[in-house]
Amino acid sequence: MADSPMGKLHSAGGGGSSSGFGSVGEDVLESILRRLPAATFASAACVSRSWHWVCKRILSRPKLASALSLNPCAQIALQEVVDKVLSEPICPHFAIINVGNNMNMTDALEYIGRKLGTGTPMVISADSGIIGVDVITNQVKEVEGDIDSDSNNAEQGIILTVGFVPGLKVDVVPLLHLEEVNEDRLMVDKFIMDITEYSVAVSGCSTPVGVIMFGDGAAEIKSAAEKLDYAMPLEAAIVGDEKGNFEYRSANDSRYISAIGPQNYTTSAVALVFAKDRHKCPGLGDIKFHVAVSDGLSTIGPRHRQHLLKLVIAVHCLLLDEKVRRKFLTAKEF
Amino acid sequence: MSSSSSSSLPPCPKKMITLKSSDGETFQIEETAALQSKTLENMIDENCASTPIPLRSINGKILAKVVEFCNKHAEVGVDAESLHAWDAEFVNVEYTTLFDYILAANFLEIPTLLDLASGVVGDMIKGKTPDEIRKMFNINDAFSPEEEEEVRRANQWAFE
Repeated sequence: MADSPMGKLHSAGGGGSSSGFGSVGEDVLESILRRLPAATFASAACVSRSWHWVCKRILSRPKLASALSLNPCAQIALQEVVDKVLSEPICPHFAIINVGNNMNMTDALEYIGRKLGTGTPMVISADSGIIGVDVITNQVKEVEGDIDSDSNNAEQGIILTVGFVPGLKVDVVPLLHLEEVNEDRLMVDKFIMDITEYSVAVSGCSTPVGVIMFGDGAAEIKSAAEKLDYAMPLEAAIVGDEKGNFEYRSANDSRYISAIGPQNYTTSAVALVFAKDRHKCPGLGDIKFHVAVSDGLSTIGPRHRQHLLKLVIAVHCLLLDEKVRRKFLTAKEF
Repeated sequence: MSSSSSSSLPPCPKKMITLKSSDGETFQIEETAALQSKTLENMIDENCASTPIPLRSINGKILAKVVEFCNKHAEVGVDAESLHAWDAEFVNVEYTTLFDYILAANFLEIPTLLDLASGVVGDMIKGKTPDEIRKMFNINDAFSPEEEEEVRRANQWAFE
């Protein structure tokens, strides 16, 4: 949609109706719309020109919404985190889900996919231990776990993070592992080419802005990560976790898979790729990724596990620039 | 005796401020109640509240209700449940009046009233399709078919 000058908005807002919404000012409309849950907000954005512009103004900055549930019933936990992240305006551009080892990832992905729309790229990974802001108490909670431990507590819980990144496009690119008769082969070159091609198609530039990798604990993907690191210029932020089990949903999955033909394969890793959208609105700022390494989140829990932190850092520190992060934090404190 | 000394003093007079609506009506409101409005609070802090405060964007009918709201919410010893019931009754009005409340609450910066009135209109919209919302509020400011298509696509996730 082309930029509409604000002056036009007022006349459009008149809309021919003599009372009611036709005559309300933008302040009133904004006050109403910014309190709506995400799905109704999306509906409101499609009502009229003036509503659309007000919605665009409300949801103009990048945004992350995240929630954790430790409800022992998986179905309730899923419902709780989805309801929480969608309780305020957000347009899901991607989702990262971390679950305890007890949760059925396929079911969780299916459920969340239904709520966030089939076009939303998503990665779910099972972690022994999760950390996040609890849906009920609004406090940061951490569940420590160990892959070998039998403790029930460590096996449950789900954290859902949904991101809105205006001006970027996001997709999940899989690293395939071919199972051939004579030898197994990790398709690292194809993986890097798929990432590059996605980036070119979206931005016209072969370097994505950021990559978050999720590896399969069983596969040796270090070499793949090294190759990717070598192939990408320094300005591309790359982070990842090589230890979890994961599943994913990509908007273009068939494209990545069909190229290899009818062979047996498994997916050894996936990359959540963020690339600049060449069609982004003029005037929209750029989102920058910063990589920060931390050895702890202070004050939370007695001990911190490396793989856990990587994910937390990936989600909470790398995606957005300082200003936005501060805004995000303030919003949560509210 | 202490009782005589206290009775000899007049009870501390409640500090009142005067608000003037767009149509010239004046309203007295206790300063403690007025403090719920950030706008009025600032004026009180800056000693600008000694003369009637003109509120050119709020008419007498709405200002009377806003003063009533602030008085109720400044009352001591009202339990949450009955205040909730009172609020529900307060916003049980036509939506055009709700818009006036929102406008006034926005101008006077009264977060409780802004949340309440905006939330009620939000509840009316919740779960409705764009078409239903248009019909409900008689909105005719339509998109061109191309614009509509594009806007729908950007928000597709919510319509699946």
